[in-house]
Amino acid sequence: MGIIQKVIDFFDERYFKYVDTPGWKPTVPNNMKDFLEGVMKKPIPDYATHPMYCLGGLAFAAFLLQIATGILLGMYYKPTPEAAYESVKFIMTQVYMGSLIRGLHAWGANIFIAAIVLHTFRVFLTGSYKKPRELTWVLGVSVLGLSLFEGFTGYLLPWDQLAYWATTVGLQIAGTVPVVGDIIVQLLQGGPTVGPNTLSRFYIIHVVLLPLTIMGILAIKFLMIRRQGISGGL
Amino acid sequence: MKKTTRRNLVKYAAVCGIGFTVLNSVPVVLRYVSPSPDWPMPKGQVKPGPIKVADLKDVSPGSFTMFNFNFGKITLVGGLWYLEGKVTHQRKGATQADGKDMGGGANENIGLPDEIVSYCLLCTHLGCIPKNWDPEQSILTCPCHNGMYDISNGASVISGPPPAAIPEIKLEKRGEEIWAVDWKDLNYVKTLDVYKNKGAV
Repeated sequence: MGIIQKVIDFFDERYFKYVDTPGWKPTVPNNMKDFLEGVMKKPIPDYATHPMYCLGGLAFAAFLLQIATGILLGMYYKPTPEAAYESVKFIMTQVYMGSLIRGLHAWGANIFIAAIVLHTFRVFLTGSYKKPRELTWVLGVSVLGLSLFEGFTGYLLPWDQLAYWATTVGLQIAGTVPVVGDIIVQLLQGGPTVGPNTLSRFYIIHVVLLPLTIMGILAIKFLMIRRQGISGGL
Repeated sequence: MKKTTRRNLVKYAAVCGIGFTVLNSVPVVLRYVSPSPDWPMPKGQVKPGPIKVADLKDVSPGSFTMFNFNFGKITLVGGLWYLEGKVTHQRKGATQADGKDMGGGANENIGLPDEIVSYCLLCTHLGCIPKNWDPEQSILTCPCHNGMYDISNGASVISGPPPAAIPEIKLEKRGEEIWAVDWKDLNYVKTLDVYKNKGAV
């Protein structure tokens, strides 16, 4: 018996075949092979192999790249006004392949947002947002908004002149929103001007809050797509 | 054996390509996360090895300066004196148990007069930095518990709680510069409890 078969048996006996309630039938196959095949080998319609239908997957791949490179950058980045710029400079000049990793993160951010925008166009132009898939469209548009916010918060983190003034201008724009504008600026800025608290807040929003939210939304969105299938054809 | 179909060929090519890419990134990532000895030291710390402590023209009789040095484990503070009057260096072969009176040793510094001496500023009592320097009596006092060292006589302990003298640092004249190159007596430093506990040796 091969090693792969042994691994499969291990998980079958401990999880897939295991049911503790007599008379209750599990809704998924009771062995790992069938379960995985059901997940991996789901047939898709011919029209969905067109490159335009790969943009969502491209966006997700870019998201995974952002997480991987973001974790690596986080090993050296220090989110304080005194150390932030120095730590970015350290990544760019001292760490092995540091400029490559940061470059991947910066370009990956562009690819992530570009792919989401193009994917949104595709879904709009093929009418895939229509009933019964309105909720998937709503989730997708929230991911678009969150990803733009993710880009905005990440832009401040190098803490150089460009970052500082871009954030100042960006927050001033947010301040012009009627009624809630001032509250939004106060919450994001954490003080009268862009300062140490802004850096802390943007950092924790950038590395914890938004990634977790996007991951949660994407998980629900993918389950909905699996259940409803891919709509339409060009 | 499975028949090699066009589909299988493409599938294996794709899997191998992705696998090759992922495997290739492993050593890069490992090296990315590993600290490198080439990195600049944090503020106040210096790299292990001999270090320049002063220019010869900057030291004159009566001067006292401090410097950072690292002989392999941690960064420590050293003191450099150009004393006046009669000077004896630290003798070798002592231990913490009999290291209070340490004068009468030979000058082992290379190319420098007897009057230029250097000692490690890490009190053998509890590891404070003794740096209150009295040039009149050539006494160095530790601010924590008033331990007093006679710098002109091998840094012997003349009063206070320190169990032994602070160890001498071996100097060397390199061109017109003074360099700290090593402990004068490494075996003595190894017997000092504070130095062992701080990880200095």
